[in-house]
Amino acid sequence: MSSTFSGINTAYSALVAQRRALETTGQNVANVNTPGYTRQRANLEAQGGPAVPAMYSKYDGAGDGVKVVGVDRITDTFLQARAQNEAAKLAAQQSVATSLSRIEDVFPEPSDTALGSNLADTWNAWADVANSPGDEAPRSALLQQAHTLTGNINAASKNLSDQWEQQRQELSVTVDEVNVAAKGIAELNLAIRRDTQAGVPANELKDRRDALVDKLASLVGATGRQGEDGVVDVYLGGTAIVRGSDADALRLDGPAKLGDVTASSQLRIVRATDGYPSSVSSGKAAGALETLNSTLPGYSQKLDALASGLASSVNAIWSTGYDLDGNPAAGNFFGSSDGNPVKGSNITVLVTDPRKVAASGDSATRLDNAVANSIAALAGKVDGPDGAYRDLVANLAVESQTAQTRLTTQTSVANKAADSLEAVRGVDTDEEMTNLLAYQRGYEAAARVMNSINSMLDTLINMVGR
Amino acid sequence: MTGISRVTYHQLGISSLRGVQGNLDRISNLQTQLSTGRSVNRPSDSPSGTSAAMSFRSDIKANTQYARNANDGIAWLGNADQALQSSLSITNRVRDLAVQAASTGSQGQTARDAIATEVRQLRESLIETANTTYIGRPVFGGTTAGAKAYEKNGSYVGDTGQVLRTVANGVQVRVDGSGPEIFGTGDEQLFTIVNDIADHASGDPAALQDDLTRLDKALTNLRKGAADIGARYNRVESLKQGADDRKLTLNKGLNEIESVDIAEATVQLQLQQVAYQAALGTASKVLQLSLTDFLR
Repeated sequence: MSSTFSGINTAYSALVAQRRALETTGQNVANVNTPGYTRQRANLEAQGGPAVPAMYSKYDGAGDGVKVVGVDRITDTFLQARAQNEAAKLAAQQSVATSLSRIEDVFPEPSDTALGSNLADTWNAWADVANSPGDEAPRSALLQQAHTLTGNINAASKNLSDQWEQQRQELSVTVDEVNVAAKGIAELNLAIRRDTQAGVPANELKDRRDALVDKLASLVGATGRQGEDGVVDVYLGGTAIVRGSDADALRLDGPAKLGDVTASSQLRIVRATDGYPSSVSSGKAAGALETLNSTLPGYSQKLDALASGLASSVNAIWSTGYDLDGNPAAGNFFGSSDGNPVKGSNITVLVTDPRKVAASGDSATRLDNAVANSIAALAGKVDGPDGAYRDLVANLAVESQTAQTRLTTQTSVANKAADSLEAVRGVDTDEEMTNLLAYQRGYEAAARVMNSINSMLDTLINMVGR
Repeated sequence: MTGISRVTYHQLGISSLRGVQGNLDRISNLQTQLSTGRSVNRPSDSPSGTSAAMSFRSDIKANTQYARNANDGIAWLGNADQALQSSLSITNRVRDLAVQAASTGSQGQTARDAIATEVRQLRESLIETANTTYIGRPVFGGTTAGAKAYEKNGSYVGDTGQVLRTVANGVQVRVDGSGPEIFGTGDEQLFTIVNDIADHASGDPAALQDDLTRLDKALTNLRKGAADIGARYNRVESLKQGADDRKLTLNKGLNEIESVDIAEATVQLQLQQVAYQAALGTASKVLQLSLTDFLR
């Protein structure tokens, strides 16, 4: 037989439970617009008899009310991992597409003022020299035009190199951000573990920690793995950067200039303590690494090949020529300004005196314009400088367009993954309003029950007997 | 997601925003196209279009240069042609005088002396004509840097080079005339023959018959040279016309690739703006409703 006042206890437990559930609903509503918030739900459990009945410890009561045994975080770890994955790929794709777009700005074709036009104007300047080989004026004009051409090639090369350095700086900042986030995750893991072991719900801490894991995913493509006591370990490739409450720092390792990047000397993200390389295959850092290690060096080398091809094809014809005074061509027409092999950054015009421009092909017939004509005939040749430049721009155009298409697709995929996750863990105010009604009525009903029991007991105590 | 998925308010807001952003992006692209008038503003807008446009541009520049070269060549050849026409008429006059002097019966010594003097004058004119220049360069002197092709005494001071002009892709045309070929060399040279005629007119009229035969051969040569120059003149003119025509075609092709169809782009812009308005309207209607409006 249960005690006389056990009914009141039951009603009281109901009041407490409904109030607690109401507060949880309040917490959800308060955080309806908080990014990364996972909705919570109070877990109500009916209290009844003991789980193991015994001969002399039987239970014959009606039940002991209700208890809130915990506050659950409604989320789906699979969807969360998928959303992190797709966000990482999206960040990588964004980084690549932006870099290619910046490289496109260096070669603003099709246009009447860019390198393609400069090349055509230089060939035409040679043709004008061929038309009046005895005049110094077209020769001066040729030297000016050639200077414009080499100046623009130098500027393009410098632009690519500046972009490389800027991107490297950004990557270095990204690695610092990763280190800060990893430390944050470690600290939160420690707090969560302590709370879980003490039986205290740590849902808000878990939300903050998950937001940091999301950030790590989009920065370097890290993945989170559930550990014990609510802790999440973060792995980058196969190595862990956060294990429980310990975090490893990372750093950037590799060449400091565009010119130093080769197939064997590349930028890598490594563990700060021992230089062990981490495999960064996704995330913003992966996109940056691809740009720094292969895209920018690739185009810079193509530009260098264009410059050296231009110099060698013109110089080959030039060296067979004779200048205005009948002397054989002295030195080269195009050369490097610093003594190194001709590249995009150092190509320049070595001739300064218009009289030294070697237009003639025969020292005996000084106004014969054979050399000037041959050089002018290099215009538009598919295997000459024009063809090389056109290939460079065509390659760039295709690569950039592909990157943009991939970005659009990946944006859509990442959005869908994020939407699926939101659908599970997002707060719906309509739902919360409905729950609010339910808990509110529950509270009112429990109060009513208490009232009824009270008046029953009142009858019993005050009315019966004298 | 299969089945009925939960949709939260936040989600509605985000998806409306995404839709509106997408619309704005498309509107912005169309505006860029309309304001630049080009549909290919960056290489990635159309890789094949960019490649073709660059190719067209460089061809247009090349053909402009060909037309310029051809103009220069036409001037050279025109001058040479005129010079040869006057040489022909002077030489014909010399021939008439020689025939006159050869008929010894009707001419006395004084008459023949007068003829000799005139022939000598005509020889000087011939040499002057052979020294015709174009922009300071003798048209019959090859590639010499000097100002003359022939000295007063008839010796050739030009050189053996050719003046070539590129008037089409891989096509070079010679725009000067070779003095030795047109006027002859050694004993067969026109000026030597005319000199001989002058000498024989006053001294040895019997030799004039022989001179006349030689003069006829030189005249044939001269006519051949004139015909050759005339033919080349026509060729360069037609090649120049070709270059100009090709430029027109290339420009048209470039326009087709690069330029935006204004009418079509404007219509698209209107459609996008309507879509944008619809998206905004929908978003505002949907986001206003909530259960809280209905609970007391």
